[in-house]
Amino acid sequence: MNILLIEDDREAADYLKRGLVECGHQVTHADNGDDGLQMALQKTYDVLLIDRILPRRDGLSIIGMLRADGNLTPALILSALGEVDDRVKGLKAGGDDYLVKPFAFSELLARLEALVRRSQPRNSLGQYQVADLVLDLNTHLVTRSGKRIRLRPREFHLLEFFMRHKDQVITRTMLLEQIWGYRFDPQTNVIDVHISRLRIKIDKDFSKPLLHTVRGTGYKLSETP
Amino acid sequence: MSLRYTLLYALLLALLYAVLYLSSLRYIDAQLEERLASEIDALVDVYNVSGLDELRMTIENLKSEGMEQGRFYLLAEKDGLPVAGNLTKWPHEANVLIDSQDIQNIWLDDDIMIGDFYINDAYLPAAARKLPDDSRLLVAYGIEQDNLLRELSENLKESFGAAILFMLLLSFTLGKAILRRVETINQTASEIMSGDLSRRIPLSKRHDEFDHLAQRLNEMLDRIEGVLRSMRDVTDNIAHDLKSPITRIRNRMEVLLLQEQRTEEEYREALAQTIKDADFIIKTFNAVLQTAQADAGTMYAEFSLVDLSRLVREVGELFAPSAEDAGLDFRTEHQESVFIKGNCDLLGQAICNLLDNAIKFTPRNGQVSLELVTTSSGADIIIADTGPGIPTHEYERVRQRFVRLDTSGQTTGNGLGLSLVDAIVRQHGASLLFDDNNPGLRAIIRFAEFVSNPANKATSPA
Repeated sequence: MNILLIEDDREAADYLKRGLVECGHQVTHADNGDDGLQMALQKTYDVLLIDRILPRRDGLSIIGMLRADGNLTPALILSALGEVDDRVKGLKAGGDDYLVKPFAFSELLARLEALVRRSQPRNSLGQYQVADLVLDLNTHLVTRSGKRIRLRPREFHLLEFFMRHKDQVITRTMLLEQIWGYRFDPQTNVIDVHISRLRIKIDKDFSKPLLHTVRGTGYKLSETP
Repeated sequence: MSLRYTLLYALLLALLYAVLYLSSLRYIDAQLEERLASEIDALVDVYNVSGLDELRMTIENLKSEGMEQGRFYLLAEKDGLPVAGNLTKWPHEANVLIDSQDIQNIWLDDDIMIGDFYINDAYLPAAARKLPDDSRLLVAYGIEQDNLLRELSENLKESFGAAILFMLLLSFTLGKAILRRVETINQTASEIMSGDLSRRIPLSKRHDEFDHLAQRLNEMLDRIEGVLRSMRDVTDNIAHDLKSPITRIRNRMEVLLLQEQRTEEEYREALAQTIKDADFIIKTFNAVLQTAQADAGTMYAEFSLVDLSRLVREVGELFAPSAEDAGLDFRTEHQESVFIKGNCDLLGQAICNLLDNAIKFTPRNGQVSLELVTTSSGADIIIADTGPGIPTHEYERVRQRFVRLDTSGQTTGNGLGLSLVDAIVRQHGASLLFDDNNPGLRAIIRFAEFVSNPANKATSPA
């Protein structure tokens, strides 16, 4: 990914840059809002990583200016806990995702990839397919190796989300946000329990597991672990 | 202090007296002028009715009386030659009075006064007329005005003195009493500042403003003492809670460095453990901050209409598998279309924390339920379990930060869950209640105000 990082905290910027570069991404860094906006206007990036509060120009204002200019590069806003503004404001301003500091680096990486990677396309029949697992959005039928799998509505949504984001790491908070629509810290393994039930249904009777646990981060639906 | 006020009062009083004196002066002047005008008019009438001789006689009569009262009369011929009266000469200024028909002060020299007066030459109010035969008439009033004024100022002086004396006495005694009571407050404040936070201002039995003030101050001190105590508890607890993961990190790293050669797997494992410990530290801090924000009411500015029915249904559905795995009989029941003003994520967090506790503490084969019911007292979200419950006397304490009832270390948690729930609930203007579930605990989040259908505004208790 080609990432533009706009962050005034030098230490945080160094750490983010190093992490992202080591994961194979290109990072351009601006340490204030004005420079950041200029850079975002001059070159095309895959994703913008913008701190909420910046010298010279506020993070939300940068996104607002870009969107007004017709620039739709996905943007992830970083904000410190304790700032009264909540993510609703950030998303209203045109941000695509929002992360509160301090965050796990793996969480950031997963969210950036989700913003950049295009969703898996459906096949001509309106189905998602990963290996021999097929989910049909029209008939709401799920099969693996032709065998019917019965899912509850929520499990169906979970699986649909995983299939749409095939090969991408999905974190627990992303799932709670996307599948349940809530943004809070459940502090427990409620999400994992849902995943393990889904996994039993789609993987248990088959030789090749598809739903993988990514240690310390989340889950991934993929043909290869 | 009280002397300064007395001086201020005296100044004000003096000002008042000055105003009084001046206005009396004007009144006296006006009275004199009126009398003067009517007397001279009466004399002119005497001339008109009875002629010059009669007027002369009248003036001769008035003269003797006038001498005592300090009144001056003069009837003079056209060229100013005196005919009758107690002035020896027609004052030049009096001609102006004839023209103006007005009453004005004119200069009367004592040389021209007949008789022994104790006033000397002075400006005196006077009026003058020209009679039809061109002779002139002058009337001036002297000592009378002076006498009246002297009397007035004497009176004022006496009463002024009395008033000042009275006030000095009053402010002295009153000030003493007030000072004594302020001094008590002052002294208590000093004692508190020198470290004894438990001191309180003694109350008198008078139930006056000072007692009200003292009582308020005492209440404030109670509040501050309470806050300080809980702050100290929180600090102690944070220190205790963070000490173990930090110590763990330190020891793990040290052990790791003891041996020169370790496998990559070992390094990886140690680092992963360290991240886990750091995450716990961050989580603890976040929870503390979040609670503090909720307490201060600064967490999330945006409140909107929240569908409680949907929230309860969804959180119930979220937790159902976990409850089932824990071997519990879990059910969710809710009334439809119950709405409140609030923040969905915060309320979700609150219900989640309560449900998490219920599931964690209830032994296998127990029951846990999540309900939303509306009663006459509002909309209740009830989380009930058949676990060990909370003793009644602990209902208040468990809301505090870092309070953990299970000290055996068998359960995990940082003791912040309930304090966060309490803060969120208070931020929503709702109340968190606990009740015995016989056995177990019933935790109730009660919203006094709710909307049963957001389309119409019909609110709360039926």
